[in-house]
Amino acid sequence: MKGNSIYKIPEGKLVKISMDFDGGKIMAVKIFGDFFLHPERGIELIEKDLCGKKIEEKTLIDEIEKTVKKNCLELFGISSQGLATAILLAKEGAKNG
Amino acid sequence: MVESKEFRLLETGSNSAAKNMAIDEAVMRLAHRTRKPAVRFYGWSPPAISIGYFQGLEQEVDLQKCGELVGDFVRRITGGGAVFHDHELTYSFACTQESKIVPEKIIDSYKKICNPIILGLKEFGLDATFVPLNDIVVNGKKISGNAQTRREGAVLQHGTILMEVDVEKMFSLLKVPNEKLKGKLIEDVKQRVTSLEQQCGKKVSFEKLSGSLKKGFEKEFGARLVKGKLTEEETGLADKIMQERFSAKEWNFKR
Repeated sequence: MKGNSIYKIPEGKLVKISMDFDGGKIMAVKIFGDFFLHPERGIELIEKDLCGKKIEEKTLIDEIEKTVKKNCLELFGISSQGLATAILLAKEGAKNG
Repeated sequence: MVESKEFRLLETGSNSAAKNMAIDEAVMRLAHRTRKPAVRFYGWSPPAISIGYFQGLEQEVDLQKCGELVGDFVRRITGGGAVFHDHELTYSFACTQESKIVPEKIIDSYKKICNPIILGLKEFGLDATFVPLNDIVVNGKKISGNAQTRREGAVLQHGTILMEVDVEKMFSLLKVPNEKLKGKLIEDVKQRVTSLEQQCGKKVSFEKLSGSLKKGFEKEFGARLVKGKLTEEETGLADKIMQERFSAKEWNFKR
């Protein structure tokens, strides 16, 4: 299934998610937005590491934080919580659509 | 080692979007060779849209309208949002991290590099303030957006200072999530964005603004900005980056 979402992170930037998922797990995900992330290539690492993961809030937050820590990424205008919420909304959107 | 308190001032005129972004990247990547921090002032010809590193080009830009009305677009190597570059001055600042010219902490370095812009705007009698992470506002309205990246031990920050603003034209080029709400969005942005023309009550020339910003950089960093040119190495690298990255479909449509 395909899911998309647009989510304004409270006190942060706008995040757009485009996701393929199956059986409650992420098959592929792209994270778009006007946020900042240093170094920038870190976004591809987050997207890659989320593949195969359960679309469940705690799992998503833990996975994102693991990638952030492992690669010394710095996020501005987004957060692991905000990204997890946007991904959950993309799943919800697909279900309702 | 601390570099001398002489900065390079690069006034490169107006260029295409791809060339502008390539020069910024080349100056940053060669900062360890040129040794001196560089301040660059430039414009965009033709007017162009730049999008942030993480944005989707086709999500953000109406490419057909862009082709008809302005004709140029580019993906930046920095994050942030889509910008319509028309009547504005763009600056960039590049230095090595080891020079310790700017704070190591990213949020603090944004402020440090935005301070010269604030000082420059003071020359026009404007009380500008820095709003984290990356904006400068006058009377509560955004007049400047800024974006930073760090690569190969160097810092690059570039940003725009709006001289005039045409929100309708900007929104004719950008896609919005909900077409029905476009009118309201335009009104919202008009309330939140301003320009030198609006704040000063008259048009301000590029030269006058760049002169004020030069003073701002000199005051903030206690440095002398000395007019210089791109080195041969910088020009060569910029040409290469322009061809391989900023003019390439693979880069601009990568997200």
